[in-house]
Amino acid sequence: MFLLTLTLCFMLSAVAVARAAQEDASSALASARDTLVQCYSVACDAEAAGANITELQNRLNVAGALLSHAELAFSQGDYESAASLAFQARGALDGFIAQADSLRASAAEARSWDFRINIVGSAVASVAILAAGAGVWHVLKRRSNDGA
Amino acid sequence: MQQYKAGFFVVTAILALFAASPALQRLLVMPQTEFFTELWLLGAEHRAEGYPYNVTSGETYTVYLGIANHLGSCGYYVVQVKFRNSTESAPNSFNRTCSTLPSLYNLTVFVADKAMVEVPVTFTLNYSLGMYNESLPQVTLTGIRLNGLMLKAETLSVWNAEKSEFYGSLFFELWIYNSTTARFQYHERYVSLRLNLTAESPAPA
Repeated sequence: MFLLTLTLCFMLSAVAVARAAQEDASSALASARDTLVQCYSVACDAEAAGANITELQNRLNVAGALLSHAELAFSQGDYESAASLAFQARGALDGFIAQADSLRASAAEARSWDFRINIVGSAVASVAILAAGAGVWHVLKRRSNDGA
Repeated sequence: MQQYKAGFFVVTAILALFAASPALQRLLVMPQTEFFTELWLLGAEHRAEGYPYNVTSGETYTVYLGIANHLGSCGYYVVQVKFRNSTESAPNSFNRTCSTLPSLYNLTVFVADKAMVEVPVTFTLNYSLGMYNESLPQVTLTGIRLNGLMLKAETLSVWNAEKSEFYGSLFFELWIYNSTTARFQYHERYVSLRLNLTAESPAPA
């Protein structure tokens, strides 16, 4: 009877441990997925601001590959590896949001300068050339009339 | 003086247009009207030829899966890797539906706008030759090793005497993350590899 109870207790605790490992892995996976979505979103914002996001894309792909491995390990019941790979996926994105924000700010600044130089500058230069042309024509015309 | 008037103003206008060209270059850009994603598969030599067809159990083959993004913004994709025999559910280009088979592996890929990502895919099929019945040979697939990862894939393929093959198809469905619904949805694109799961033609009874 004692042996049976002991075996039962052992089995129950083994099941509880396995379930806890599964829950941990599931939670780690969900967290990694959320982080990936969040980082993807800030990368999109940086891209929309005109930043070159090749480096961000590469980092996301490294994290994405780790997440894919983690999901496979989870589906095969290897919860320990799944949790470890999910943490690695999150770790691969450490400092990502700050990097994306910095790229976005730089891109916004570059875009502002680009607007000032290329749009405003060239429009002002164009108007100045037209005005100068009209002025020169006016002067030449007056000299021509004075000479006649 | 009047005879030079037209020439003078034409030259002035040309100079003004030249000075305004950086602004005009940005203002007169045709808007992008088509938003799509390209998905392709290349052979081992990075060409649209030399795809593996006769595959031997335990041998490793390489293909290249490419994704190019023309959506106007960064794309978050998942490529679902699936394997089917001739009777199992296939994706349909006309109905734009995906296969109902479960994904063996999900490749996660991010692609910036107007960029492309190419993923090398190495695969090894493990299968054994047997008999479906007294007269019909069959191949039983026991697993696929994809990019070094062992995937569970259990299916069988019976001998097709008409085409002289044990048909198998390794295919890649493209799914995209929809930020509005916070879910992945089938992006109506797939590429597939038609495979003959033997290097030796059996002698059917």
